[in-house]
Amino acid sequence: MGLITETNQQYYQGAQGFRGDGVLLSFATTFDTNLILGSWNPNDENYTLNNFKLYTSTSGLPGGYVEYTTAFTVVNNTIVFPAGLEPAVGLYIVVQLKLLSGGKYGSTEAEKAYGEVVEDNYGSYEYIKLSDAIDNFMVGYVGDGKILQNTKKSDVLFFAKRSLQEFSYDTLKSVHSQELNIPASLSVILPQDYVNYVRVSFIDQLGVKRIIYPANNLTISPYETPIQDQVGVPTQDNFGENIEGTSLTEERWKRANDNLLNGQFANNIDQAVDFQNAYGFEGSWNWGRQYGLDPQLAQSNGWFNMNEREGKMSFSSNLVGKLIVLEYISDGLGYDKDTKVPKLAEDALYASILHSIVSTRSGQQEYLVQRLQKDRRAKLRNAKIRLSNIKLDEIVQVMRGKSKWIKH
Amino acid sequence: MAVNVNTVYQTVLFILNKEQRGYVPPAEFNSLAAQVQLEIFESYFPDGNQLNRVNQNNTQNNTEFFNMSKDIQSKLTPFEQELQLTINAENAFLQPQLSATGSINRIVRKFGSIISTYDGQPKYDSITQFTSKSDYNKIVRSKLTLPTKQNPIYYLSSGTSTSSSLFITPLPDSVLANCLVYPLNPRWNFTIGNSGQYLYNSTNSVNFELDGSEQTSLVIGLLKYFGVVVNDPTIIQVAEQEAQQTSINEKS
Repeated sequence: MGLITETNQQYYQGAQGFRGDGVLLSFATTFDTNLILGSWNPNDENYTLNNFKLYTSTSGLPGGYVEYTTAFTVVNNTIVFPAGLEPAVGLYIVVQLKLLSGGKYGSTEAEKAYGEVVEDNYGSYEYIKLSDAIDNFMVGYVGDGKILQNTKKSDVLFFAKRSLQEFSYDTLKSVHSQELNIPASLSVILPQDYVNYVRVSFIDQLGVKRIIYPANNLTISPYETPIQDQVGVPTQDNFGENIEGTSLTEERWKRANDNLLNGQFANNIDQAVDFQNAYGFEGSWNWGRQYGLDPQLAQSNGWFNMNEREGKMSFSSNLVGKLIVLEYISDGLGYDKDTKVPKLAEDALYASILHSIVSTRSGQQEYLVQRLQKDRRAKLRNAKIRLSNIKLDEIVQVMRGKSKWIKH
Repeated sequence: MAVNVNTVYQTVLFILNKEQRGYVPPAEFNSLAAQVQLEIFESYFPDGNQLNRVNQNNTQNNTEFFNMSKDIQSKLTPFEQELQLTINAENAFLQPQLSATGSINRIVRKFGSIISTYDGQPKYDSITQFTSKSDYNKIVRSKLTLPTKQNPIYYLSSGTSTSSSLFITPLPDSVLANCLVYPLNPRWNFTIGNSGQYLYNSTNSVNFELDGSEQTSLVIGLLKYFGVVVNDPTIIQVAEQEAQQTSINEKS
């Protein structure tokens, strides 16, 4: 039996149709997506929680559908009409999951099913849900005559989640990104499921990504900024805790003119003077004192640094008002929809769980642990290669530029 | 297939009456029959455990009729029941009240797999994992293993009730338990004949519920006890030797 259970209509349109027969009260949907019903009543505040709309039509012709806004319930993904309200014989009933286009059944804007539920399911065949992977593991690896004779599901659950976390850090594709505007405060809050950044870029007028680099050695956001007395001792409040002030380092960094750091002031005489004043160079035009440009600083895209104390990411002043994209990694466990594994890494996940369970057991033969460790490593490497998306045609395209001179 | 209680009784009487050793009245037979049936029933668990080790070594045969582990499993099949557990005021799940007439007329020996059902949208029917109370306390404190509707766990405790109850987290709407129940006590019912003799009456008699293959074991087991009753060491000795020989043969 094939693994795909949705029809083409369910997958592409997010719709499933039924016909009333005057008797049936319940109509079971078979989407991969669970139906969510907050309320059938558009005037109820919970109506917006619905992830679908229900339409009926007597003719079944385009434009002939109206939204069904009379009482019904959903039980186990089955639409259930109350007794006495059996859909009439031949009545066309359509369950439409919400999608960006609103679907083709609603006639008015209010009737259309706007949302992203259908889009969330697109491409889902690329992944396997973590819960399914755990069930598969229990079937294939745990039981009489297998390596794991008896293993608690909670152990499998623990190691599966740990493996997914580890995979998320360095094996799986980084799919999380946020498009943000840099406010006047020059800092943005880290995403809720943020673990580490992959790349930060600002987007120019052409929509091209321009990488912003970390200000590792240029500045810092201090973790603590205690207020000191005149002899330098931190002062405390009534509760005995240090009194914290605002960071002067951050204030100066916010005011800093980036051109003075990246060497772009050469065309602006005022900035050149500022540079001299800032660094106390004596005499006029001491260009020679720069000893050439430092490549890591010779870029005008801007800088960012992590403010660990406030859980924010701070940016250099030239980025104010700019559009940035923060690409980051999470651990794959933040949200239910994230707890999935690419099928290309499914076997690596099983190998990882198996090795983790066997290696943490007492009295396990070491040769077996070693074997499983090698197996895990090989499968993980394989998964990394697969997920690296190395395609021959793309490499060929890159290599076509190989006759160019590489300048250092 | 159950073992006919009259067949066993007549066989036992036949052997005992040989050389006028003694006679067993029905009341004594019924009492000891229940005891022997229970003994054989309970022996399935340690024997099953022992025979299952062959599975674990991957040296078990997979023949249709000669796999002893499967054999014991099939002997327990008549005692497997799926019971809908009932919830009490403590939010613990118990086996339903025993009823002499209903389908639940016997006591649960062991709980097997537990399916917890969570109504709502979506509905979950989840295999529920058994843990000790100690493990339960650890599992619920880890965010990675926290029980969910898809991965519920339970522990057994008597709580405030006298029988063993299941405490399931998260609390399901209904629970279906695959259980092993005790066999019903056998009963050789009779009427009194014209000369005051006992006549078998199949009405209200209860057969042994053990598998048909256990007939010999039942007879031997009963003879062992009746040897004590009639004070004849020869019967005890012969019965014990017979039982031992069968056991060695099965497990080797």
